[in-house]
Amino acid sequence: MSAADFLAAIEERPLLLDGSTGTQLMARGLRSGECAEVWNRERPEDVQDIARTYFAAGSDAVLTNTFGGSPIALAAHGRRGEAYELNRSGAEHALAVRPEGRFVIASIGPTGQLFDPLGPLTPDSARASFSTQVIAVRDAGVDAILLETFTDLKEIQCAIDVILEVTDLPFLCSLTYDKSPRGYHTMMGVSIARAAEALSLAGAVAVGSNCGNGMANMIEIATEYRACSPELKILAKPNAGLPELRDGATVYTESPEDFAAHAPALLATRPAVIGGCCGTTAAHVRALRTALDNA
Amino acid sequence: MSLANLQQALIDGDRETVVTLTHAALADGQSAADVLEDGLLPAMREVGDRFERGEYFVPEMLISADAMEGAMELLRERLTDGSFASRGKVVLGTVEGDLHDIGKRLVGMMLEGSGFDVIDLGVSVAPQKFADAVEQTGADLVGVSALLTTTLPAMEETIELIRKNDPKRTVKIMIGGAPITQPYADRIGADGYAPDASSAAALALRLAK
Repeated sequence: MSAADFLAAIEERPLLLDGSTGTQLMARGLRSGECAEVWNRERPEDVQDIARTYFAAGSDAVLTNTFGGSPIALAAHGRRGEAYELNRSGAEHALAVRPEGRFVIASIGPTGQLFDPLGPLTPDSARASFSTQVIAVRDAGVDAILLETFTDLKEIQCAIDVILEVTDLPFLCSLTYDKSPRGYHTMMGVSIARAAEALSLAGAVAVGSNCGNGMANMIEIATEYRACSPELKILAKPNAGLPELRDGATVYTESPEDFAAHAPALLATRPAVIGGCCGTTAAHVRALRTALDNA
Repeated sequence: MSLANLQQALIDGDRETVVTLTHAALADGQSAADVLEDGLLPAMREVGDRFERGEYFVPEMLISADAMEGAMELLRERLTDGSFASRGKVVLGTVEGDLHDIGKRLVGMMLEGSGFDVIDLGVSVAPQKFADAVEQTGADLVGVSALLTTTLPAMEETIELIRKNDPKRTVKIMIGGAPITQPYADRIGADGYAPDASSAAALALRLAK
């Protein structure tokens, strides 16, 4: 499959992404504060196994284990120089287990820094950082790129600039919103309406939200995106609810059954892409697969 | 000289004007303590209220904090005479294993904007480092922040360690962050929980009494 096939597929039916990578890595021993992307080199079988499991659960596309792989984010682990290698191998692992007719989408997350004068990030340093990642996943041969968990329009625009400059790959944009007395905004103050307009204008194939919210809020977010534009391709990737600590273990509150129960309301907003974020598992993906197949 | 314009400039996050008006107030004979107490602190409370109401976001908070810092650079040395009643000393940090700092940063600025002295230990702070800092600084309050659920055991360890040295609980511990809830805070023996930076400052004022 290829980028062209991906664009054709997204036109013809809603696509199902995978569930959480981080939660699965932690189930296999990744400790809090450790660098997930290092597993692309040191635990490749586990990384491939996670992707394989999601494809088997019914995902049309899986995301690469590269979310925190920007050189800037890796620098916090002292691994800035390993960025190209870790991003490329992360993409190659997913591609190695991709069945016929399915897709691999590169996951690219924010740098974790704020723009000058609030922090050390500049448009140049942001673009340089995203550049390494985009080139690496492009070289590996992914079908598309998902810019996810962003909260700052200026930062996501830097990533978009790089994508447009160095590839022809389709890209999707997903922001994380908080619910406040004034409605949904990212922590940097971006509203859903502003994101929908700016990012579709910038050329995103789909625009939406991931993380920070469970199904109920995500349905409200998707509804608000849909109200902005009847034609917008919407992406919705909720968490399995919010995490709680029970007897020393982290437990997410929304079960696959909860996902199944909420799925019709989410599908009523006519999303183009759905999936599961933090805390979701293959069982959550199966619940969404069933909902999509029966819709 | 009315401090209303200074307050407005701080609310607007206009550092240049804040600095100019702080200079002017001092030149006009106002004490540093009054400028802080009657000018800056009420303005920061308004900034915090707007944040709680969902009108201000992270950028607005940080820009106002930056403007306040501009004023504090002029006021700081004039405040060492004890004319300003510091609300107390707070040791602040993100829990061990967690690198997130924006929430903690906002709490720090709201605490300073409420008249506290803040010692920010940074991110991924080991329980022992929290405990040592409390002892070394004579802090009245500790603020522990976490974004990751997986780091909550370290938060519990931090509280335990601080209590070991302070069984009478003279030092007040408040916790916050995305996975924290009031029931959880009660269960692990924290003295308080706040859902955002602005209410954290209000909580700190109550705990410090």
